Amino acid sequence: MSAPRRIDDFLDECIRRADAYLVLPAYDRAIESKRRNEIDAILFKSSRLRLVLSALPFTPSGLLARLALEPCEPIFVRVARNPNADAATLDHIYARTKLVETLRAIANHRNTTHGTLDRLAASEDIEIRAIVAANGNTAHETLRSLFTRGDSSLWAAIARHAHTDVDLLRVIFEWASTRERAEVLGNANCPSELLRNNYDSDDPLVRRKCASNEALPIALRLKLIEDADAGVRAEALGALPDPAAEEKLSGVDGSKYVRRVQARRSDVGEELIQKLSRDPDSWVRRWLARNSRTPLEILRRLLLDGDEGVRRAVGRNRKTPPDLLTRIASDTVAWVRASVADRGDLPKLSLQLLEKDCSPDVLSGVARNPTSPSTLLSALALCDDPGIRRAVILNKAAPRQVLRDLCEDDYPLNRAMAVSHENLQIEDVWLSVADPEPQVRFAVGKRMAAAL
Amino acid sequence: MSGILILAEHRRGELRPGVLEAIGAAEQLRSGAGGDVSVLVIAPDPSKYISGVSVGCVDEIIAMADGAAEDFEPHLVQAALAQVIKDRAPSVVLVPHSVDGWGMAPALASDLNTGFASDVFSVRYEEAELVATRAAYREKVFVELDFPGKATVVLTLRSGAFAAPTTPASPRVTKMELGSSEALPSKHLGWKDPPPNGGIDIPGSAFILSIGRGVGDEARVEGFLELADSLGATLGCSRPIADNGWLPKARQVGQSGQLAAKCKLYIAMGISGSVQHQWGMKHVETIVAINKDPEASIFGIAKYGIVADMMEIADELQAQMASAG
Amino acid sequence: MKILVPIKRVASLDDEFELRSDGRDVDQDFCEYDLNEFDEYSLEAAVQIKERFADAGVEVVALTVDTEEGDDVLRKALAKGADRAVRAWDDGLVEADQVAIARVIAKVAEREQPELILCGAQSADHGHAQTGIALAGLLKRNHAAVVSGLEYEPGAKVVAIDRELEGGLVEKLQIETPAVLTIQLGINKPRYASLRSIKQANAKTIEVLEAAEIGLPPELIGQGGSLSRVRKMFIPERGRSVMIEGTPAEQASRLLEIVREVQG
Repeated sequence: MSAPRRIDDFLDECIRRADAYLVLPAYDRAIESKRRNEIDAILFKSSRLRLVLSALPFTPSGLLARLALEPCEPIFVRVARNPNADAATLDHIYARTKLVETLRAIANHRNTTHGTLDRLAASEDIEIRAIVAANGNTAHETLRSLFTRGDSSLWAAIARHAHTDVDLLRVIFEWASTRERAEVLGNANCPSELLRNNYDSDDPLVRRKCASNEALPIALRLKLIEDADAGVRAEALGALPDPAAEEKLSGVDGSKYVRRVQARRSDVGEELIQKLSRDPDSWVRRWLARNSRTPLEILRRLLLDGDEGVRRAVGRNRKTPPDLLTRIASDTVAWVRASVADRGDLPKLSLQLLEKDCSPDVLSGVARNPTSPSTLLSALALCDDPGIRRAVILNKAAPRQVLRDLCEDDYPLNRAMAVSHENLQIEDVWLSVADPEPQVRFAVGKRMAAAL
Repeated sequence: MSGILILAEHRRGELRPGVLEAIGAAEQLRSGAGGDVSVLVIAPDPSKYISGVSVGCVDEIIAMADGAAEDFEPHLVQAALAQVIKDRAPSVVLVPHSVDGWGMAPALASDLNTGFASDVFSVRYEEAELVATRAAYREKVFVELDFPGKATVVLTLRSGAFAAPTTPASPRVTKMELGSSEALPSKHLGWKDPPPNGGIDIPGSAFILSIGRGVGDEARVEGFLELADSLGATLGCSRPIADNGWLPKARQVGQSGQLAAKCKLYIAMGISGSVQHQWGMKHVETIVAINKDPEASIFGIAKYGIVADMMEIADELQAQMASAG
Repeated sequence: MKILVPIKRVASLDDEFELRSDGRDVDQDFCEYDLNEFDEYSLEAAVQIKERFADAGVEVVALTVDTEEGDDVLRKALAKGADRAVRAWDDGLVEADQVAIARVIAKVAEREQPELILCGAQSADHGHAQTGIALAGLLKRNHAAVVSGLEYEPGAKVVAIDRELEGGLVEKLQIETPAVLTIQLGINKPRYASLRSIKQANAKTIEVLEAAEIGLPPELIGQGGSLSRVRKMFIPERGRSVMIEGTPAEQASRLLEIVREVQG
């Protein structure tokens, strides 16, 4: 039969087939229609199905709200853990559940209201209070009341929290030990006098936290770039706003970790770049090879590096010109050749060469290449390797006919992904409506719901 | 019906560790079982193994010399055990839940119609009843079993569940001849040792750092390659990372990828723990899971758990290694 | 010649679940069912022998001991290359343990007279690792467990096999047919059923054997034929992971300690 053209006809089909996975992605449309009762009957058919739907990460929030109306702890805990659960549903469960696991899940959820988080912060259970302290949504007032309650074990989490304001951070700093003080100093809201007074602490962890804070005044940062501890230097350099004074970055650091950070920066001086390109540490050379500001002559040299990771990094560098890409395409190591296989700027002759490669990583790259002609994609879609076939499906330019064939792939995930491809029309997608795999039928339903 | 009979499993001239653990288990059962604790050694030269099993509560070693018993032949071992069981009528027969144990014990039990339970990690007598505990549903549930009407019960014991005894013993040695002399249906041809440790491949790696969807994008993947390198680990990944071409297929751990066959330490960052990925981790000794979600299923199988943002932990690891020099 | 492949529908338990009210099993509402993973490999091994020696007339028979819920896994087996599917069930088998199930399989094996019986080394849900070798004991047939490599030509008197032992050590041996082998994961790469073969499988008939046809005496059905009995199941104390608490700095520091400890 041909594809339904109106949402109601689609819903009728879902009802006729009694297919929960087909209708699930269209749920929000279904509840607005006259068919809502029959559709509910399909989705609420068995207790097992209700449990499964409560836990599925693609169940819409409206359905989760309905499912949570059933006073059933196993459903409550699944919905509370479901990222799609909305604030009202979470509040509904909060008012009814007796299970501590469910309360913890609500305390952890990003959609939980401030009010409910505040009530949870008053819980007798320290674990629940700790989860509230770590929840990114928790409001400042709640963090303050958690602090004043006196659980020192929560101070570090409160000190790190983005909603903890300047005043509270000062108070925490006064009362806290080093571990919490370090967290205060790392907080973006940290008052500037604390940074100024502690950036030269004896404790390297404290200095490092100051260095990680973007609010640290630049004069102090430049001092930390010359700190005795390599971790502090690396951190200070890493957070130095770009571009910085060149002369500060001319020296070759004793620590490879710091040199690696240097190699990743855009504003490294020419002399230093030359030195870094010959660094004994392969990761220094590798980061340099990946850096889009690295001069071409350095890239040419790194192309010949003995370490395959360095050569691959040149292949992933968006500034690497076509003539170098061609050379990389003939590297002896497959993973290096694969680095250029999916690049749209790879010269045609090189792509033709890589077509004949044996490595599945290279062929997957070719399959993803936006310039690969349809004839090539058709051929790759017949490969034995399901990963290569999947790479064809990931190609935005995959032609319709190739995708239609891939909708019959042996591997269910491939079929689901093919169905979801934009280049397929609804008529094509509908051919998979009776697929044995639920995830494929879900993908069909999703396309139908979006198109109709 | 009394007494405990233990099979002294051996391979390539060495006693298997499960044998001593079985002797340790026998200690717990001996008063309930009554009678003697006997260890059966079937080998071309049983005397080689006598001192090794002269520990703990062992009262007797039954030495059965047989030229065909150098390498494990399940039908031979089964015949030998069956003979001793018929002769001695022990209450309990203990065999390690080893690969060789798998190959022999169920046939022994079904043939003799004894009681039987496998992969047991706890066992006791409740009055006169033997009660054995094992796991079910992939360790999510424990099961208590009993054996109504069974005078003899064969158990295969989970490795590491019982402590091996350390006190020496002086058991008496009884020689026994294997009655049957049928031709044996299987013939050992040789061994293939596993390839040596090390190398960049996942199956050979002792230390793996694995990343999942939590890594976000390709640029960050390079940072994790660096981190793995600095830690001395091989970088592995879950399927979506390899599918995107961010890492080669050879690094993918899981059912459609590689098995971490010899991994002592597996650090899983940003991996929720799908069944497919868990398949690749089933032989790992120590798993450390790092995930932002405290409810991630991977925490159910990990020895250590860290609830945190994997990027923050990664940054901290790098910074601390930098400080250390 | 025939290869009999006994297969099992196994349960995957949700992380959150409840026990049945009688406490002797879990509430089935919390279970997801599928074909036993190990059986994918044993089935694939059988089908590969059939295809490799296409002129030898090998018939692969899939068998499950289950209620009609077992039809799904049989259809999967048909879609993956089994020629025939048989389901055996008696309501008395509800209380059957692995050996009692093996007794039923043995009866079917007596009817079918397969040259080879390939079982999964264990089931993914309970992991008893008993059914295959117990079956061999009942049939008094040659057997080997945990087979990771297999070479067999239909009509040959021996099968060459590898067994995967602890620590990755592999034992090479040969065993005389007829034989029962239990198959380990990774022996081959199980195929995905194509959509066409799934359709064809759905159209095939499954042969159902009822109590009378199975032919076991009533005292051997269910608990009577079992070698163990479930007294109860219970949920062990949760929280298997040792959680490393503290700031990320502290957690990372502890992690580095663990790395040093394990690496030695």
